[in-house]
Amino acid sequence: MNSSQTIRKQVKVQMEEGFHLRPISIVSKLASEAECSVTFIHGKQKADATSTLDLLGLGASNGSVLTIEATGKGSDIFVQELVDLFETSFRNFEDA
Amino acid sequence: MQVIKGVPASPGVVFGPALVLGSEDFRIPQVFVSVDAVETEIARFQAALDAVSDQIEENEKLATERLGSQYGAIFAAHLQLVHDRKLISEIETLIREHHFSPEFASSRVLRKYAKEFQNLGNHYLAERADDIFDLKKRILRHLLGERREELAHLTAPMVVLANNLTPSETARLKKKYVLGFATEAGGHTSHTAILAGALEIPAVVGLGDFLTDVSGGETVIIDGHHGEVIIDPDEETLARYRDSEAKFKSFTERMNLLHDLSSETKDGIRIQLMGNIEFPEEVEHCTQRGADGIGLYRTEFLYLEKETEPTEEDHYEAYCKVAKAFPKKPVVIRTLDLGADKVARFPDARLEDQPSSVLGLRSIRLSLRNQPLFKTQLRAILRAALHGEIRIMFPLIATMKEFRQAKMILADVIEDLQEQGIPFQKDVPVGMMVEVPSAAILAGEFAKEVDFFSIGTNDLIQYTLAADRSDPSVANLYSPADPSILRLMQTVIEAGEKENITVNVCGQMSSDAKYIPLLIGLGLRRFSVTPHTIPEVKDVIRNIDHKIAVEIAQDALEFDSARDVENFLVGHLKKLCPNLFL
Repeated sequence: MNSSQTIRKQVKVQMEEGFHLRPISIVSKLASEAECSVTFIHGKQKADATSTLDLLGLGASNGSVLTIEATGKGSDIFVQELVDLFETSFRNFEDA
Repeated sequence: MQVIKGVPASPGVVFGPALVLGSEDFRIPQVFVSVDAVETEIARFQAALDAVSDQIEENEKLATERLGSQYGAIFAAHLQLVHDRKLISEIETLIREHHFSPEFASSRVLRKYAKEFQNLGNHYLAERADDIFDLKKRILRHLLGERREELAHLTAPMVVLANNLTPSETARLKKKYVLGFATEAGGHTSHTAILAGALEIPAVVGLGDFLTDVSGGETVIIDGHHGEVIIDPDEETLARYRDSEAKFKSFTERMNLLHDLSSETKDGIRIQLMGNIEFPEEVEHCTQRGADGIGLYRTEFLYLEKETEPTEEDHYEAYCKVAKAFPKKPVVIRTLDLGADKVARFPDARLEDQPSSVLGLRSIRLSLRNQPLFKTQLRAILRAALHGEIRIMFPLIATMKEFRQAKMILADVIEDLQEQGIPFQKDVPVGMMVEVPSAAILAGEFAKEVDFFSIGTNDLIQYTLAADRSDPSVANLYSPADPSILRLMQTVIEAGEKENITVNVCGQMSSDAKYIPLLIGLGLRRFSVTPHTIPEVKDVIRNIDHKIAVEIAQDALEFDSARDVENFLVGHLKKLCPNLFL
């Protein structure tokens, strides 16, 4: 597969507090370290995944569907990593 | 002229020019910087970010160590915000291209995000706006090199108005410059109110929103007796308060005459009258007023002021100071009671967002889980006990197991000190606070294992009636006069009498004149009160006949509402002590 294609996958937010600061900060950290560029889309809004503030601004509450879009080197692997996160550790996220 | 009602937190009447502490605590000195200063300013901004980042990382470590990784994670998330590339580039662009000062640029950008979040109508995001305001404060603090803020730089006496004062800010208020204060938040037994009483600074809390109507500089009257704040009083009102202030001063003088008289009832029953203190410095207030000792020495101040944990020597010094001031009288030291509203050391910790924190890991539970912390305190207490009549008291005991565990740890400490050949006092009496309903209900069992009880009415009322003592909206539920509380206290006092151990009351209830006859009538012979109320309480004690007190108690127990009990008690107080400043 040509890894500089744009990969798109959808994920569902399954956390009581929605896609909130703590999981967001995990995503933004990973996105900053990835080589590809990553965008999250919620409805009409787009957010740069390396920016915590941008992601917060999506206001993605519990049950929202988000589209993850990644372009560049390793985008397919990275998107899959994120999808896994949303389906495993991001479910019933343990908060303080 | 505006009159606002709140909750009286500390008595006295003062007036003076107002200093308003808003949430925007910083006056931004400069909006623009010169073209050639741009690179220096960018560097200064980055240095501030680095400093804030370090600070947050440290808080994260501390929080994780002390409280667990979920709390540490809150700071980790804040750290991500600080490193947000979009945020940083927006601020730097404003500095580079528009020549804004870093203070103004940061403030602008962060406020924009915060407002966006507030307006999105999403409850969670609105709270994140708070995180952003917080971050802004931190950054500005580093850029401006000041701590909050004008409080430390006052040069003339003023009346301080704020949304809230943290316990550690209250503790640092200097009487010379702070005539009194008033806050929008807070309740009558909130820690800030207790501290105001300890410092003898008139204060009113729980006023609700009023700061938007004040700009600063206008004359404000704080009436700590009636819980009123008057902004911009007219001449007539001002004259009336000047008069009132004079009356209060002469009342205080009258009370001082009581110093040499003993606290006993008319029919000769001796009542021990002790003081509650927060800081070693308050011991003077107690000795000056002829207290019979210290019934409650709150030790939290040792943890509140500092960034790091107090050492054994820090503890030891603080305890010796008080023990030496009262060499032959009991000094009861309460072990760490650190709780949600007292953790001033972690200004960003969203502990108040955690609804169960008051019922969660705090106080003795924290001590039992963190043995090194606990043992440090216990070692210092045992060593200091050589210099006076110290007693140890464990707070928030809810189960027998907790008390026994605490005693076992104490036994370990004794063994350690013996092995190390360090001098200390053996046989230090060990008691507990009765503030959790479970302990009051099982008082009969506990009485067999403790050397004394101290009824902590502040929390006992809170837990029994499930009413937050710092929430003005449920203030009407929170009453020491509630029949349930009276019955619980009766149980505890009787359990104490049966096993022949001393029972003390150390909450705000015992400082309140109207409850004195009732408490004596229930069998209490020892009170620990706010030091400035010692003369007043002594006055009431000297005006009662024990037999009448017993009757009052029996009658009070017949009522089925707190309101009825209160009215009944006030009625009797007026008859017994007509000359009290009511």
